[in-house]
Amino acid sequence: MEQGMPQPVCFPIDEACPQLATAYVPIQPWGPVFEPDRGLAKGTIFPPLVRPYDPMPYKKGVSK
Amino acid sequence: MDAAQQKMLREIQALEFSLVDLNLFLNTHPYCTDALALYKEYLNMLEEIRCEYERRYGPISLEGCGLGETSWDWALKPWPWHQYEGGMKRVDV
Repeated sequence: MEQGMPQPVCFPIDEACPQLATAYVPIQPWGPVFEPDRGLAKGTIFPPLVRPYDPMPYKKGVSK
Repeated sequence: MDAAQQKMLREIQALEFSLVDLNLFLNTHPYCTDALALYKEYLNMLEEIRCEYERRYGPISLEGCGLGETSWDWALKPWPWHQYEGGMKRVDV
C-alpha cells in the first residue's frame, strides 16, 4: 500500500479487516414528469424513481 | 365534504406534493431551468386553486385568501375532522 494512504478502518473484533462499503448515487437527469395527481398516487413525480414497495409476502417455514 | 370539495382538495394536495418533489430535485439541480419553470408554474396553479378553495370552503392556510373580512374564519370554519360528523364517510382517494 502506498505511503500516506489512509488505512482502512478495522473492527477490533475481526482479524480479517473488511473494507467498508462506499455508496455511489448517479445524478438524476431531468425528464418528463407525471401530472400532479398521478405523481401523488405514485409517491413521486419522477418516473425513474417509481418503486412498487409491495408488502413482502409472508414466507412459511422461515421462522426460527 | 361533497365531491366537488374533495376533488379540489385533492388537486391542492397533488400540487403541493409535486412542488415538494420539484423542491428536492432543485436542491441538487439548482440551475435546471426546466424544473425551475415547472416549479413556478405549479406554484401559480396552487396559489390560484387554493385561493378559490379558501373562498368557497374556508381557510386551509394562514397566509391565504380565506381568513374572512370581519371574523377569524380560521377558528370558525369546519376543521378537517368535522367531515366525519353526521355519518359522513371518509372518501379514500
